Amino acid sequence: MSEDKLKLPKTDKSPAVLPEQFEPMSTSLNLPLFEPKAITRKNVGTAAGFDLTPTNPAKVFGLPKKMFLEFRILSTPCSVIRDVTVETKHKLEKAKDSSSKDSRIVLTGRAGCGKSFLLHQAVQYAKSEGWIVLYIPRAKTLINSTTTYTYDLRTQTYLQPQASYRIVEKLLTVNSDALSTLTLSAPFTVGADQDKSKVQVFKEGTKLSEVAQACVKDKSFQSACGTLEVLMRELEGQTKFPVLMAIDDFQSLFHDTAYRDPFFRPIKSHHLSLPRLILEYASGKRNFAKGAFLSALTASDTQYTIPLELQDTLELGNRHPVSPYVQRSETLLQYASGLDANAGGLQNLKVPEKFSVEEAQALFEVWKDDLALTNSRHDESFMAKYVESDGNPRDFVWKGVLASYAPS
Amino acid sequence: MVHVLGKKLPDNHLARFALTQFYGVGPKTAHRLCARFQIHDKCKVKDLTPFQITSLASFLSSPATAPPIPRYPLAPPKFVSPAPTVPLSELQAKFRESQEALVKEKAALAEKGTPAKEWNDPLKSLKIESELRNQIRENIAHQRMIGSYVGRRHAMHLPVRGQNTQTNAKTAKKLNRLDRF
Repeated sequence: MSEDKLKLPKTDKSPAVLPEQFEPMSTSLNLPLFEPKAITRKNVGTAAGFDLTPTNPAKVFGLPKKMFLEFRILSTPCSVIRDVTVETKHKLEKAKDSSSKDSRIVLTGRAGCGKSFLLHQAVQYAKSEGWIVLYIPRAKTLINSTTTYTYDLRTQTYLQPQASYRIVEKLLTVNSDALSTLTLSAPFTVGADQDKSKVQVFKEGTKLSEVAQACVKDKSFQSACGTLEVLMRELEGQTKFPVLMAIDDFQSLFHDTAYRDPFFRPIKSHHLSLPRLILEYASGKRNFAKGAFLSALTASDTQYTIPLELQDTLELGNRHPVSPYVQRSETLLQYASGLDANAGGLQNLKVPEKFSVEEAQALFEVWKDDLALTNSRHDESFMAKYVESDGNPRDFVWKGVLASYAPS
Repeated sequence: MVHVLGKKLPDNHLARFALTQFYGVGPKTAHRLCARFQIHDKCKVKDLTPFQITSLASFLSSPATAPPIPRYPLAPPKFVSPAPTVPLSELQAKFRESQEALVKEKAALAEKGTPAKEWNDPLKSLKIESELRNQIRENIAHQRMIGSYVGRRHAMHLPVRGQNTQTNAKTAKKLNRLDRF
Protein backbone atom coordinates (compact mmCIF):
# COMPACT_ATOMS: atom_id res chain seq x y z
CA MET A 1 0.00 0.00 0.00
CA SER A 2 1.08 3.61 -0.44
CA GLU A 3 1.76 3.85 3.30
CA ASP A 4 4.72 1.48 2.79
CA LYS A 5 6.42 4.17 0.80
CA LEU A 6 5.96 6.78 3.57
CA LYS A 7 9.36 7.46 5.02
CA LEU A 8 9.32 7.70 8.80
CA PRO A 9 11.32 10.60 10.22
CA LYS A 10 14.76 9.52 11.42
CA THR A 11 16.61 12.80 11.57
CA ASP A 12 15.97 16.45 10.85
CA LYS A 13 17.85 15.99 7.59
CA SER A 14 15.50 13.31 6.22
CA PRO A 15 11.97 14.25 7.34
CA ALA A 16 8.86 12.20 6.52
CA VAL A 17 7.66 12.79 2.97
CA LEU A 18 4.20 12.14 1.57
CA PRO A 19 4.13 10.15 -1.66
CA GLU A 20 3.22 12.11 -4.81
CA GLN A 21 -0.37 10.92 -5.01
CA PHE A 22 -1.16 12.45 -1.58
CA GLU A 23 -0.05 15.92 -2.64
CA PRO A 24 -2.97 18.37 -2.87
CA MET A 25 -4.56 18.71 -6.32
CA SER A 26 -2.63 15.69 -7.61
CA THR A 27 -5.68 13.45 -8.05
CA SER A 28 -8.92 14.29 -9.76
CA LEU A 29 -11.90 12.06 -9.97
CA ASN A 30 -12.83 11.47 -13.59
CA LEU A 31 -16.57 11.53 -13.16
CA PRO A 32 -19.30 12.25 -15.70
CA LEU A 33 -20.87 15.70 -15.38
CA PHE A 34 -24.09 16.06 -13.38
CA GLU A 35 -26.43 17.30 -16.12
CA PRO A 36 -30.15 16.86 -16.82
CA LYS A 37 -29.65 14.19 -19.49
CA ALA A 38 -27.58 12.11 -17.03
CA ILE A 39 -30.48 11.85 -14.55
CA THR A 40 -32.21 8.73 -15.87
CA ARG A 41 -33.29 5.37 -14.43
CA LYS A 42 -30.34 3.78 -16.24
CA ASN A 43 -27.87 6.00 -14.41
CA VAL A 44 -29.25 5.34 -10.93
CA GLY A 45 -26.30 4.14 -8.91
CA THR A 46 -23.64 6.23 -10.67
CA ALA A 47 -21.72 9.18 -9.27
CA ALA A 48 -21.64 12.47 -11.18
CA GLY A 49 -19.54 15.56 -10.52
CA PHE A 50 -20.74 19.17 -10.37
CA ASP A 51 -19.24 21.80 -12.65
CA LEU A 52 -16.99 24.41 -11.07
CA THR A 53 -18.00 27.58 -12.95
CA PRO A 54 -18.01 30.83 -10.91
CA THR A 55 -21.80 31.21 -11.27
CA ASN A 56 -22.56 27.72 -9.97
CA PRO A 57 -25.28 28.04 -7.27
CA ALA A 58 -23.12 26.04 -4.81
CA LYS A 59 -20.23 28.53 -5.16
CA VAL A 60 -22.43 31.63 -4.94
CA PHE A 61 -25.23 30.68 -2.52
CA GLY A 62 -23.06 28.35 -0.47
CA LEU A 63 -23.73 24.88 0.88
CA PRO A 64 -25.11 23.32 4.07
CA LYS A 65 -22.28 22.84 6.54
CA LYS A 66 -22.00 19.05 6.47
CA MET A 67 -22.05 18.98 2.67
CA PHE A 68 -19.40 21.70 2.57
CA LEU A 69 -17.14 19.66 4.86
CA GLU A 70 -17.52 16.62 2.60
CA PHE A 71 -16.79 18.57 -0.60
CA ARG A 72 -13.77 20.13 1.08
CA ILE A 73 -12.16 16.69 1.40
CA LEU A 74 -13.17 15.38 -2.02
CA SER A 75 -11.11 16.28 -5.10
CA THR A 76 -14.26 17.04 -7.07
CA PRO A 77 -17.67 17.88 -5.58
CA CYS A 78 -19.96 15.07 -6.65
CA SER A 79 -23.00 13.06 -5.63
CA VAL A 80 -24.73 9.81 -6.47
CA ILE A 81 -27.79 9.74 -8.74
CA ARG A 82 -30.52 7.92 -6.84
CA ASP A 83 -34.07 6.76 -7.57
CA VAL A 84 -35.39 9.72 -5.66
CA THR A 85 -33.26 12.08 -7.82
CA VAL A 86 -35.07 10.83 -10.91
CA GLU A 87 -38.41 11.20 -9.08
CA THR A 88 -37.58 14.80 -8.12
CA LYS A 89 -36.51 15.54 -11.68
CA HIS A 90 -39.92 14.35 -12.95
CA LYS A 91 -41.69 16.52 -10.36
CA LEU A 92 -39.69 19.57 -11.45
CA GLU A 93 -40.42 18.81 -15.11
CA LYS A 94 -44.15 18.87 -14.30
CA ALA A 95 -43.72 22.01 -12.18
CA LYS A 96 -41.97 23.87 -15.00
CA ASP A 97 -45.24 24.83 -16.67
CA SER A 98 -47.50 25.23 -13.66
CA SER A 99 -47.81 27.58 -10.71
CA SER A 100 -45.64 26.94 -7.65
CA LYS A 101 -48.90 26.60 -5.69
CA ASP A 102 -49.15 23.03 -6.99
CA SER A 103 -45.49 22.19 -6.32
CA ARG A 104 -44.72 23.08 -2.70
CA ILE A 105 -42.61 20.12 -1.61
CA VAL A 106 -40.80 19.31 1.63
CA LEU A 107 -38.10 16.62 1.62
CA THR A 108 -38.33 14.56 4.80
CA GLY A 109 -36.59 11.54 6.21
CA ARG A 110 -34.23 10.28 8.85
CA ALA A 111 -31.11 12.24 9.80
CA GLY A 112 -28.39 11.64 7.22
CA CYS A 113 -30.61 10.08 4.55
CA GLY A 114 -29.65 12.62 1.87
CA LYS A 115 -32.28 15.41 1.93
CA SER A 116 -29.81 18.29 1.60
CA PHE A 117 -27.89 16.45 -1.13
CA LEU A 118 -31.14 15.85 -3.04
CA LEU A 119 -32.13 19.50 -2.69
CA HIS A 120 -28.71 20.49 -3.99
CA GLN A 121 -29.08 18.12 -6.95
CA ALA A 122 -32.47 19.70 -7.71
CA VAL A 123 -30.90 23.18 -7.63
CA GLN A 124 -28.13 22.08 -10.03
CA TYR A 125 -30.69 20.44 -12.34
CA ALA A 126 -32.90 23.55 -12.39
CA LYS A 127 -29.94 25.84 -13.10
CA SER A 128 -28.82 23.66 -16.02
CA GLU A 129 -32.38 23.68 -17.39
CA GLY A 130 -32.44 27.51 -17.39
CA TRP A 131 -34.62 28.08 -14.34
CA ILE A 132 -34.14 31.11 -12.10
CA VAL A 133 -32.80 29.69 -8.86
CA LEU A 134 -32.97 31.12 -5.34
CA TYR A 135 -31.14 28.71 -3.00
CA ILE A 136 -30.86 29.30 0.75
CA PRO A 137 -28.62 26.47 2.07
CA ARG A 138 -28.75 27.49 5.75
CA ALA A 139 -32.09 29.13 6.56
CA LYS A 140 -31.17 29.28 10.25
CA THR A 141 -28.70 32.09 9.47
CA LEU A 142 -31.79 34.25 8.81
CA ILE A 143 -33.10 33.78 12.36
CA ASN A 144 -30.02 33.41 14.59
CA SER A 145 -29.48 37.15 15.11
CA THR A 146 -26.35 37.51 12.99
CA THR A 147 -27.51 40.33 10.68
CA THR A 148 -29.10 43.74 11.12
CA TYR A 149 -32.82 44.14 11.77
CA THR A 150 -35.07 47.16 11.90
CA TYR A 151 -38.82 47.63 12.43
CA ASP A 152 -40.82 48.93 9.46
CA LEU A 153 -44.25 50.46 10.06
CA ARG A 154 -45.38 49.95 6.45
CA THR A 155 -45.03 46.15 6.42
CA GLN A 156 -45.46 45.85 10.24
CA THR A 157 -42.50 43.44 10.27
CA TYR A 158 -38.82 43.63 11.10
CA LEU A 159 -36.82 44.14 7.91
CA GLN A 160 -33.40 42.49 7.47
CA PRO A 161 -31.37 44.86 5.26
CA GLN A 162 -28.02 43.03 5.36
CA ALA A 163 -29.49 39.57 4.71
CA SER A 164 -31.72 40.96 1.91
CA TYR A 165 -28.66 42.60 0.33
CA ARG A 166 -26.75 39.30 0.32
CA ILE A 167 -29.68 37.51 -1.32
CA VAL A 168 -30.08 40.19 -4.04
CA GLU A 169 -26.32 40.04 -4.71
CA LYS A 170 -26.32 36.24 -5.02
CA LEU A 171 -29.53 36.15 -7.05
CA LEU A 172 -27.98 38.60 -9.50
CA THR A 173 -24.68 36.68 -9.76
CA VAL A 174 -26.30 33.30 -10.47
CA ASN A 175 -29.20 34.47 -12.67
CA SER A 176 -27.72 37.55 -14.38
CA ASP A 177 -28.56 36.30 -17.90
CA ALA A 178 -32.21 35.66 -17.06
CA LEU A 179 -32.61 38.89 -15.07
CA SER A 180 -31.21 40.97 -17.93
CA THR A 181 -34.00 39.73 -20.23
CA LEU A 182 -36.77 40.45 -17.69
CA THR A 183 -38.07 44.00 -17.15
CA LEU A 184 -40.09 45.93 -14.59
CA SER A 185 -43.84 45.84 -15.22
CA ALA A 186 -44.42 48.99 -13.14
CA PRO A 187 -42.23 51.96 -12.09
CA PHE A 188 -40.30 51.37 -8.87
CA THR A 189 -39.19 54.06 -6.41
CA VAL A 190 -36.27 53.28 -4.10
CA GLY A 191 -35.73 54.97 -0.76
CA ALA A 192 -38.99 56.91 -0.47
CA ASP A 193 -39.39 55.91 3.17
CA GLN A 194 -35.80 56.58 4.22
CA ASP A 195 -34.29 59.74 2.77
CA LYS A 196 -36.45 61.84 0.43
CA SER A 197 -33.39 63.52 -1.10
CA LYS A 198 -31.90 60.19 -2.25
CA VAL A 199 -34.97 58.79 -3.99
CA GLN A 200 -34.22 56.81 -7.16
CA VAL A 201 -36.96 56.01 -9.67
CA PHE A 202 -36.75 53.09 -12.10
CA LYS A 203 -39.09 53.42 -15.07
CA GLU A 204 -41.33 50.67 -16.35
CA GLY A 205 -39.32 48.51 -18.75
CA THR A 206 -35.99 48.78 -16.87
CA LYS A 207 -34.07 45.50 -16.80
CA LEU A 208 -34.24 43.67 -13.47
CA SER A 209 -30.46 43.18 -13.59
CA GLU A 210 -30.01 46.98 -13.60
CA VAL A 211 -32.30 47.35 -10.60
CA ALA A 212 -30.37 44.63 -8.75
CA GLN A 213 -26.99 46.13 -9.69
CA ALA A 214 -28.05 49.53 -8.35
CA CYS A 215 -28.97 47.84 -5.06
CA VAL A 216 -25.63 45.96 -4.91
CA LYS A 217 -23.70 49.23 -5.45
CA ASP A 218 -25.44 50.87 -2.49
CA LYS A 219 -23.29 49.51 0.37
CA SER A 220 -25.51 51.04 3.04
CA PHE A 221 -28.07 48.21 2.45
CA GLN A 222 -30.88 50.81 2.56
CA SER A 223 -32.49 49.81 -0.72
CA ALA A 224 -32.01 46.05 -0.32
CA CYS A 225 -35.37 45.17 1.23
CA GLY A 226 -37.40 47.17 -1.28
CA THR A 227 -35.36 45.84 -4.21
CA LEU A 228 -35.72 42.22 -3.12
CA GLU A 229 -39.47 42.71 -2.71
CA VAL A 230 -39.86 44.16 -6.21
CA LEU A 231 -37.62 41.45 -7.74
CA MET A 232 -39.74 38.71 -6.13
CA ARG A 233 -42.98 40.36 -7.33
CA GLU A 234 -41.64 40.52 -10.89
CA LEU A 235 -40.44 36.90 -10.78
CA GLU A 236 -43.90 35.87 -9.54
CA GLY A 237 -45.63 37.51 -12.49
CA GLN A 238 -43.31 36.52 -15.36
CA THR A 239 -43.76 33.29 -17.32
CA LYS A 240 -40.54 33.33 -19.37
CA PHE A 241 -38.45 31.40 -16.82
CA PRO A 242 -39.66 28.93 -14.18
CA VAL A 243 -38.44 29.89 -10.69
CA LEU A 244 -37.13 27.45 -8.09
CA MET A 245 -37.04 28.55 -4.46
CA ALA A 246 -34.94 25.97 -2.59
CA ILE A 247 -34.68 26.22 1.20
CA ASP A 248 -32.63 23.95 3.43
CA ASP A 249 -33.12 23.96 7.26
CA PHE A 250 -36.80 24.69 6.59
CA GLN A 251 -37.92 23.59 10.05
CA SER A 252 -35.93 26.42 11.66
CA LEU A 253 -38.42 28.92 10.23
CA PHE A 254 -41.10 27.49 12.52
CA HIS A 255 -39.29 28.46 15.71
CA ASP A 256 -38.92 31.68 17.69
CA THR A 257 -35.92 33.55 16.38
CA ALA A 258 -32.87 34.65 18.37
CA TYR A 259 -33.81 38.27 17.63
CA ARG A 260 -35.50 40.22 20.45
CA ASP A 261 -37.95 43.10 20.26
CA PRO A 262 -37.45 46.23 22.44
CA PHE A 263 -39.50 44.51 25.18
CA PHE A 264 -36.99 41.61 25.11
CA ARG A 265 -39.57 39.13 23.81
CA PRO A 266 -38.28 36.74 21.10
CA ILE A 267 -39.45 37.83 17.65
CA LYS A 268 -41.49 35.21 15.79
CA SER A 269 -40.07 34.10 12.45
CA HIS A 270 -43.15 35.30 10.54
CA HIS A 271 -42.52 38.81 11.86
CA LEU A 272 -39.08 38.95 10.20
CA SER A 273 -39.10 39.93 6.51
CA LEU A 274 -37.07 37.08 4.97
CA PRO A 275 -38.51 34.11 6.90
CA ARG A 276 -41.97 35.61 6.27
CA LEU A 277 -41.24 35.80 2.55
CA ILE A 278 -40.22 32.12 2.51
CA LEU A 279 -43.25 31.06 4.59
CA GLU A 280 -45.58 32.94 2.25
CA TYR A 281 -44.31 30.98 -0.74
CA ALA A 282 -44.41 27.77 1.30
CA SER A 283 -48.01 28.33 2.33
CA GLY A 284 -49.25 29.30 -1.13
CA LYS A 285 -50.12 32.88 -0.15
CA ARG A 286 -47.68 34.02 -2.85
CA ASN A 287 -46.87 31.91 -5.89
CA PHE A 288 -44.66 31.95 -8.93
CA ALA A 289 -46.65 31.78 -12.15
CA LYS A 290 -44.27 29.02 -13.19
CA GLY A 291 -41.99 27.20 -10.82
CA ALA A 292 -41.72 25.30 -7.58
CA PHE A 293 -40.99 25.66 -3.90
CA LEU A 294 -38.68 22.89 -2.70
CA SER A 295 -37.43 22.62 0.87
CA ALA A 296 -35.55 20.15 3.03
CA LEU A 297 -35.73 19.57 6.75
CA THR A 298 -32.66 19.11 8.93
CA ALA A 299 -33.40 16.28 11.33
CA SER A 300 -30.04 16.45 13.13
CA ASP A 301 -30.24 20.02 14.49
CA THR A 302 -30.92 19.95 18.21
CA GLN A 303 -31.41 23.71 18.54
CA TYR A 304 -34.04 23.94 15.79
CA THR A 305 -35.91 20.66 15.99
CA ILE A 306 -38.76 19.69 13.68
CA PRO A 307 -41.77 21.36 15.36
CA LEU A 308 -45.08 19.70 16.17
CA GLU A 309 -46.93 21.82 13.63
CA LEU A 310 -44.80 20.40 10.79
CA GLN A 311 -44.89 16.89 12.26
CA ASP A 312 -48.70 17.04 12.29
CA THR A 313 -49.26 18.54 8.84
CA LEU A 314 -46.63 16.41 7.06
CA GLU A 315 -47.64 13.29 9.03
CA LEU A 316 -44.06 12.57 9.97
CA GLY A 317 -44.95 10.48 13.00
CA ASN A 318 -43.53 11.09 16.47
CA ARG A 319 -40.58 9.35 18.05
CA HIS A 320 -42.06 9.95 21.47
CA PRO A 321 -45.76 10.03 22.36
CA VAL A 322 -47.11 13.57 22.09
CA SER A 323 -50.03 14.74 24.15
CA PRO A 324 -52.93 16.22 22.16
CA TYR A 325 -53.09 18.91 24.85
CA VAL A 326 -49.66 20.34 23.91
CA GLN A 327 -50.35 23.70 22.32
CA ARG A 328 -49.69 24.09 18.60
CA SER A 329 -49.33 27.63 17.29
CA GLU A 330 -52.35 28.59 15.16
CA THR A 331 -50.27 30.86 12.93
CA LEU A 332 -47.61 28.24 12.25
CA LEU A 333 -50.29 25.62 11.55
CA GLN A 334 -51.77 28.02 9.01
CA TYR A 335 -48.40 28.48 7.32
CA ALA A 336 -47.75 24.72 7.27
CA SER A 337 -51.17 23.68 6.02
CA GLY A 338 -51.66 26.49 3.50
CA LEU A 339 -53.02 30.00 4.10
CA ASP A 340 -55.48 29.63 1.26
CA ALA A 341 -58.19 26.99 1.59
CA ASN A 342 -57.70 26.09 -2.07
CA ALA A 343 -53.92 25.87 -1.82
CA GLY A 344 -53.77 22.75 0.27
CA GLY A 345 -50.84 21.87 2.47
CA LEU A 346 -47.18 21.17 1.80
CA GLN A 347 -46.43 17.93 -0.04
CA ASN A 348 -44.19 15.49 1.75
CA LEU A 349 -41.54 13.79 -0.40
CA LYS A 350 -39.95 11.03 1.68
CA VAL A 351 -36.29 10.45 0.93
CA PRO A 352 -35.44 6.73 1.33
CA GLU A 353 -33.64 6.07 4.61
CA LYS A 354 -31.15 3.65 3.07
CA PHE A 355 -28.85 3.65 0.10
CA SER A 356 -29.51 0.79 -2.28
CA VAL A 357 -26.45 -1.45 -2.73
CA GLU A 358 -25.67 0.03 -6.18
CA GLU A 359 -25.85 3.59 -4.87
CA ALA A 360 -23.60 2.72 -1.94
CA GLN A 361 -21.18 1.00 -4.30
CA ALA A 362 -20.94 4.11 -6.47
CA LEU A 363 -20.15 6.30 -3.45
CA PHE A 364 -17.64 3.77 -2.11
CA GLU A 365 -15.81 3.79 -5.43
CA VAL A 366 -15.65 7.59 -5.38
CA TRP A 367 -13.91 7.54 -1.99
CA LYS A 368 -11.72 4.63 -3.05
CA ASP A 369 -10.55 6.51 -6.15
CA ASP A 370 -9.90 9.56 -4.00
CA LEU A 371 -7.51 7.53 -1.81
CA ALA A 372 -9.61 7.61 1.34
CA LEU A 373 -9.33 3.89 2.11
CA THR A 374 -6.52 2.45 4.14
CA ASN A 375 -6.60 -1.18 3.03
CA SER A 376 -6.97 -3.11 -0.19
CA ARG A 377 -9.75 -5.49 0.94
CA HIS A 378 -12.42 -3.34 -0.69
CA ASP A 379 -15.27 -5.82 -1.03
CA GLU A 380 -15.11 -6.89 2.62
CA SER A 381 -14.86 -3.36 3.97
CA PHE A 382 -17.70 -2.19 1.68
CA MET A 383 -20.10 -4.86 2.92
CA ALA A 384 -19.01 -4.32 6.53
CA LYS A 385 -19.50 -0.55 6.40
CA TYR A 386 -22.79 -0.85 4.53
CA VAL A 387 -24.22 -3.16 7.17
CA GLU A 388 -22.77 -1.22 10.13
CA SER A 389 -24.30 2.04 8.90
CA ASP A 390 -27.60 0.33 7.96
CA GLY A 391 -27.27 1.97 4.54
CA ASN A 392 -27.61 5.47 6.03
CA PRO A 393 -25.71 7.70 3.56
CA ARG A 394 -24.09 10.04 6.11
CA ASP A 395 -23.07 7.28 8.50
CA PHE A 396 -21.77 5.20 5.59
CA VAL A 397 -19.36 7.98 4.59
CA TRP A 398 -18.42 9.58 7.92
CA LYS A 399 -18.62 6.66 10.34
CA GLY A 400 -17.87 3.96 7.78
CA VAL A 401 -15.46 4.87 5.01
CA LEU A 402 -13.71 7.83 6.65
CA ALA A 403 -13.68 6.69 10.24
CA SER A 404 -12.24 3.21 9.89
CA TYR A 405 -8.57 2.37 9.96
CA ALA A 406 -7.86 -1.20 9.00
CA PRO A 407 -4.32 -1.71 7.76
CA SER A 408 -3.90 -4.44 5.15
CA MET B 1 -13.18 53.47 18.60
CA VAL B 2 -16.42 54.81 20.07
CA HIS B 3 -16.61 56.79 23.31
CA VAL B 4 -19.86 56.51 25.22
CA LEU B 5 -20.20 58.31 28.58
CA GLY B 6 -16.44 58.47 28.86
CA LYS B 7 -15.93 54.74 28.27
CA LYS B 8 -13.89 53.53 25.32
CA LEU B 9 -15.67 50.75 23.37
CA PRO B 10 -13.16 49.01 21.04
CA ASP B 11 -14.31 48.70 17.41
CA ASN B 12 -13.76 44.97 17.00
CA HIS B 13 -15.63 43.95 20.13
CA LEU B 14 -19.19 42.65 19.96
CA ALA B 15 -21.50 45.48 21.04
CA ARG B 16 -23.34 43.13 23.39
CA PHE B 17 -20.18 42.49 25.41
CA ALA B 18 -18.59 45.91 24.95
CA LEU B 19 -21.53 47.37 26.91
CA THR B 20 -20.47 45.33 29.96
CA GLN B 21 -17.60 47.82 30.30
CA PHE B 22 -20.00 50.02 32.21
CA TYR B 23 -20.04 49.50 35.97
CA GLY B 24 -23.48 48.06 36.71
CA VAL B 25 -24.04 46.49 33.27
CA GLY B 26 -23.50 42.74 33.02
CA PRO B 27 -24.24 40.30 30.18
CA LYS B 28 -28.01 40.17 30.88
CA THR B 29 -28.47 43.94 31.05
CA ALA B 30 -26.29 44.39 27.97
CA HIS B 31 -28.50 41.91 26.07
CA ARG B 32 -31.60 43.87 27.07
CA LEU B 33 -29.97 47.15 26.04
CA CYS B 34 -29.12 45.71 22.62
CA ALA B 35 -32.71 44.49 22.17
CA ARG B 36 -34.01 47.96 23.14
CA PHE B 37 -32.03 49.57 20.29
CA GLN B 38 -32.35 46.69 17.77
CA ILE B 39 -28.68 45.71 17.88
CA HIS B 40 -28.29 42.07 16.80
CA ASP B 41 -26.16 39.61 18.80
CA LYS B 42 -23.19 39.54 16.42
CA CYS B 43 -23.06 43.32 15.83
CA LYS B 44 -19.60 44.78 16.34
CA VAL B 45 -19.12 48.26 17.79
CA LYS B 46 -17.81 49.51 14.41
CA ASP B 47 -21.12 48.43 12.77
CA LEU B 48 -23.30 50.49 15.13
CA THR B 49 -25.12 53.35 13.37
CA PRO B 50 -24.66 56.89 14.73
CA PHE B 51 -28.37 56.87 15.72
CA GLN B 52 -27.89 53.71 17.79
CA ILE B 53 -24.80 55.15 19.52
CA THR B 54 -26.53 58.43 20.41
CA SER B 55 -29.66 56.58 21.62
CA LEU B 56 -27.50 54.30 23.80
CA ALA B 57 -25.59 57.26 25.22
CA SER B 58 -28.72 59.26 25.98
CA PHE B 59 -30.42 56.22 27.55
CA LEU B 60 -27.44 55.30 29.75
CA SER B 61 -27.01 58.90 30.94
CA SER B 62 -30.40 58.63 32.67
CA PRO B 63 -32.29 55.33 32.30
CA ALA B 64 -35.12 56.38 34.63
CA THR B 65 -36.19 59.32 32.47
CA ALA B 66 -36.09 57.45 29.13
CA PRO B 67 -39.30 57.66 27.06
CA PRO B 68 -41.55 54.56 27.10
CA ILE B 69 -41.12 52.10 24.24
CA PRO B 70 -43.92 52.34 21.65
CA ARG B 71 -45.85 49.12 21.09
CA TYR B 72 -45.56 48.72 17.33
CA PRO B 73 -48.14 46.44 15.66
CA LEU B 74 -46.96 43.12 14.16
CA ALA B 75 -48.43 41.79 10.94
CA PRO B 76 -50.83 38.82 11.15
CA PRO B 77 -50.48 36.14 8.41
CA LYS B 78 -53.03 37.67 5.99
CA PHE B 79 -51.83 41.25 6.42
CA VAL B 80 -51.59 43.34 3.24
CA SER B 81 -49.23 46.31 3.50
CA PRO B 82 -50.55 49.71 2.34
CA ALA B 83 -49.76 50.84 -1.22
CA PRO B 84 -46.36 52.55 -1.77
CA THR B 85 -48.25 55.76 -2.68
CA VAL B 86 -49.34 56.14 0.96
CA PRO B 87 -46.53 58.19 2.54
CA LEU B 88 -44.81 56.88 5.66
CA SER B 89 -45.64 60.09 7.53
CA GLU B 90 -49.36 59.28 7.20
CA LEU B 91 -48.82 55.80 8.67
CA GLN B 92 -46.76 57.29 11.51
CA ALA B 93 -49.51 59.85 12.20
CA LYS B 94 -52.14 57.08 12.36
CA PHE B 95 -49.93 55.08 14.73
CA ARG B 96 -49.43 58.11 16.98
CA GLU B 97 -53.20 58.64 17.12
CA SER B 98 -53.75 55.01 18.11
CA GLN B 99 -51.12 55.33 20.85
CA GLU B 100 -52.77 58.51 22.20
CA ALA B 101 -56.12 56.72 22.23
CA LEU B 102 -54.54 53.89 24.26
CA VAL B 103 -53.10 56.39 26.76
CA LYS B 104 -56.57 57.98 27.19
CA GLU B 105 -58.10 54.52 27.75
CA LYS B 106 -55.53 53.73 30.41
CA ALA B 107 -56.15 57.07 32.13
CA ALA B 108 -59.92 56.43 32.09
CA LEU B 109 -59.41 52.98 33.64
CA ALA B 110 -57.12 54.45 36.29
CA GLU B 111 -59.80 57.03 37.18
CA LYS B 112 -62.40 54.29 37.56
CA GLY B 113 -60.13 52.59 40.04
CA THR B 114 -59.10 49.58 37.92
CA PRO B 115 -55.70 50.62 36.54
CA ALA B 116 -54.31 48.61 33.65
CA LYS B 117 -51.33 46.39 34.51
CA GLU B 118 -48.12 48.18 33.45
CA TRP B 119 -45.12 46.26 32.16
CA ASN B 120 -42.33 46.47 34.71
CA ASP B 121 -39.34 47.57 32.59
CA PRO B 122 -36.14 46.21 34.26
CA LEU B 123 -34.05 48.83 32.47
CA LYS B 124 -36.06 51.69 33.98
CA SER B 125 -34.50 51.04 37.38
CA LEU B 126 -31.01 50.56 35.91
CA LYS B 127 -28.26 52.39 37.78
CA ILE B 128 -24.73 52.55 36.36
CA GLU B 129 -21.37 54.10 37.15
CA SER B 130 -21.41 56.95 39.67
CA GLU B 131 -25.13 56.56 40.55
CA LEU B 132 -24.59 52.92 41.45
CA ARG B 133 -21.44 53.61 43.45
CA ASN B 134 -23.31 56.34 45.37
CA GLN B 135 -26.13 53.93 46.12
CA ILE B 136 -23.69 51.34 47.50
CA ARG B 137 -21.95 53.98 49.65
CA GLU B 138 -25.31 55.16 50.97
CA ASN B 139 -26.36 51.59 51.82
CA ILE B 140 -23.17 51.00 53.80
CA ALA B 141 -23.55 54.38 55.55
CA HIS B 142 -27.16 53.54 56.46
CA GLN B 143 -26.12 50.19 57.96
CA ARG B 144 -23.49 51.95 60.07
CA MET B 145 -25.91 54.69 61.13
CA ILE B 146 -28.49 52.24 62.47
CA GLY B 147 -25.69 50.43 64.34
CA SER B 148 -26.24 47.04 62.64
CA TYR B 149 -23.86 44.07 62.54
CA VAL B 150 -23.36 44.67 58.80
CA GLY B 151 -22.29 48.26 59.50
CA ARG B 152 -19.84 47.19 62.22
CA ARG B 153 -18.24 44.58 59.96
CA HIS B 154 -17.75 47.16 57.21
CA ALA B 155 -16.16 49.51 59.74
CA MET B 156 -13.81 46.76 61.00
CA HIS B 157 -12.81 45.79 57.38
CA LEU B 158 -14.01 42.22 58.01
CA PRO B 159 -16.34 39.85 56.08
CA VAL B 160 -20.01 40.78 56.39
CA ARG B 161 -21.87 37.64 55.37
CA GLY B 162 -20.65 35.14 57.91
CA GLN B 163 -17.49 33.95 56.16
CA ASN B 164 -14.52 32.45 58.00
CA THR B 165 -12.02 34.85 59.52
CA GLN B 166 -9.65 32.32 61.12
CA THR B 167 -8.33 31.74 57.62
CA ASN B 168 -8.88 33.67 54.39
CA ALA B 169 -10.96 36.94 54.54
CA LYS B 170 -8.22 38.63 52.50
CA THR B 171 -10.63 40.34 50.08
CA ALA B 172 -12.78 41.70 52.93
CA LYS B 173 -9.76 43.05 54.73
CA LYS B 174 -8.68 44.78 51.53
CA LEU B 175 -11.98 46.13 50.24
CA ASN B 176 -14.59 46.41 53.02
CA ARG B 177 -14.68 50.06 54.03
CA LEU B 178 -17.23 52.59 55.20
CA ASP B 179 -16.19 54.87 52.37
CA ARG B 180 -16.02 52.11 49.79
CA PHE B 181 -15.63 53.62 46.28
